[in-house]
Amino acid sequence: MKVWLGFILIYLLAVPWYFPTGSWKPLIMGFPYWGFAVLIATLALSIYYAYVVLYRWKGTKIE
Amino acid sequence: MAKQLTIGTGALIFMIGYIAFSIVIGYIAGKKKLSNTAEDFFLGSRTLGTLVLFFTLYGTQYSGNTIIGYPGKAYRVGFIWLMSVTFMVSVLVGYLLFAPRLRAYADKYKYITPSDFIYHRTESKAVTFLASIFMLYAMSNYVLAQFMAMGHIFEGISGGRIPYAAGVIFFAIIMFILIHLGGFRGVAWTDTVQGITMLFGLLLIIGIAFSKAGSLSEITMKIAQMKPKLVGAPPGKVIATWYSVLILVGIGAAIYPQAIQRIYAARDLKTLKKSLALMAFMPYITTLVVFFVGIICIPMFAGLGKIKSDEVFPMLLSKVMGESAWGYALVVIVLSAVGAAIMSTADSVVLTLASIYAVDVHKKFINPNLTQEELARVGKIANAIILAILTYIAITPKLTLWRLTEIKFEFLIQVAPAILLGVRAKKLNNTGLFLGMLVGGVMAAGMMLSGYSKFHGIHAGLWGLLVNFIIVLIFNAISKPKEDEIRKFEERFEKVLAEVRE
Repeated sequence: MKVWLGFILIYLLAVPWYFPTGSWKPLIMGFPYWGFAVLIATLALSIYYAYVVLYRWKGTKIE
Repeated sequence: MAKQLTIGTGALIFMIGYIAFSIVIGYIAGKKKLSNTAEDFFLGSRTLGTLVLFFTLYGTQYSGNTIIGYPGKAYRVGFIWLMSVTFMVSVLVGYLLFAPRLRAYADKYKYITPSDFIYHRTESKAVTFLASIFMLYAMSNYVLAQFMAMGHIFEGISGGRIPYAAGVIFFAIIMFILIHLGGFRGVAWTDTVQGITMLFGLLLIIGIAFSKAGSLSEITMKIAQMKPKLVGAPPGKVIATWYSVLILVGIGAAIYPQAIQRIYAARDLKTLKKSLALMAFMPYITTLVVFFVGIICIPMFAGLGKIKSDEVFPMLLSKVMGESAWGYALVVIVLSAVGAAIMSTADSVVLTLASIYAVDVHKKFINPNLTQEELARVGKIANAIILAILTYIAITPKLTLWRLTEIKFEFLIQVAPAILLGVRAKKLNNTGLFLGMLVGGVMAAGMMLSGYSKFHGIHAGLWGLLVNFIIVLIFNAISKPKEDEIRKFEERFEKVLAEVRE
């Protein structure tokens, strides 16, 4: 169950609902700051996913 | 593809040769077959290693539309299209909802199709039939889009020397020979070659794009001046759609039968895990690259309407092609990568369609006494017939203009309760499953066809799925648990879980 809480937390951060609508400055590496945040959260999702698949998926269980 | 991308005869022959080359791979793969059984033809005898499994997952999940369609989307919606990077990871997260258990059951009971599991779990012909129909429909539309894209590309790059219909027919013939000779092994091996070509092409694309457009900061500043909405943080309604897409694609694409069959076909669990973990990083060199292409085109080709904006990628390539011989060569390679993306999706889906016909329709409803060898033969005949039907639809404009060809995930995702609940719930009421699937599918398709592809920002398919799940849960709650059903689940499935080792 804890594993899934991790996914939920990352998904909460991976969609930019928590920024003021229409804002975009400053730019970070060319991205509007909120887009950069989305990208970083998505990267966290990929890394967490790989971790879960390789180390928390045991036989038929993910724990 | 735009007419301005017309290439010379030499380059055209190169591309045709590249596509036809897959027949050679199919032939070699056919020589390596372990038996004449359906299991070998449809799943390569479940012996796929990490590299080939990874590339066939990659080639199958990322279609021609990812490369040619997505730049237009990024062009229209701007930085919001970063969602395409997230939803491609979500597909993999979707697998985790059912793959660990389903993989164990499939290993034990030698399932070939997703419906094999559904039938074994529910013992209901009605549920299995409806699920198979929904899956067939979604996949046929998916592969139809690949066929049409191939026809348009041939027509575009040959400047009309290869008419659209001839391109589609040529492509269908190549697919037929490849699948007929190589079966699943042939498909997976060609996917590996295609996957490598795609990656190479994508690297070139990113190089081309930034050499033409300067730094991302400059581009973003320009877009902010022209169309501030495309760089601004999105409003609430878009946020709802964003989550809706993540769920729709995450669950929908994960239960695509060709995806599930790749879970079945892995040599062992370790192989599957390694391939999936690697796949989690592919969006950054695929959908993110394609996103950049669309973004770069916003200031470069300002003011295009919806239909024209779908052409931004060919427009960019055309610009590069006209500049030098080197640019021309680059474009031919990129076009081959697009062809590779289309082929590696189409071959996998067509073979899966053939397996669903042979195993889920022919064996379950027409002739249950077929041997493994006969089943493989039925699969080969089904391959030919399916390709003929798809070709006919693709070259008949009356049929392809029909909105019904747009319905994919709306139907497909309705199969989710049967799989997601099926792998773990001891009690599952078949009437609820059937009605939920039917009502959810009809509702989602009805919304789509009446112009409500989204309602309050949420996709029609998800509203259908919500109603579907509610129906399933209500029927489950009001029906009495039958002791023998629960015992059967424990003996048939829970026992397997205990047996599995790494």
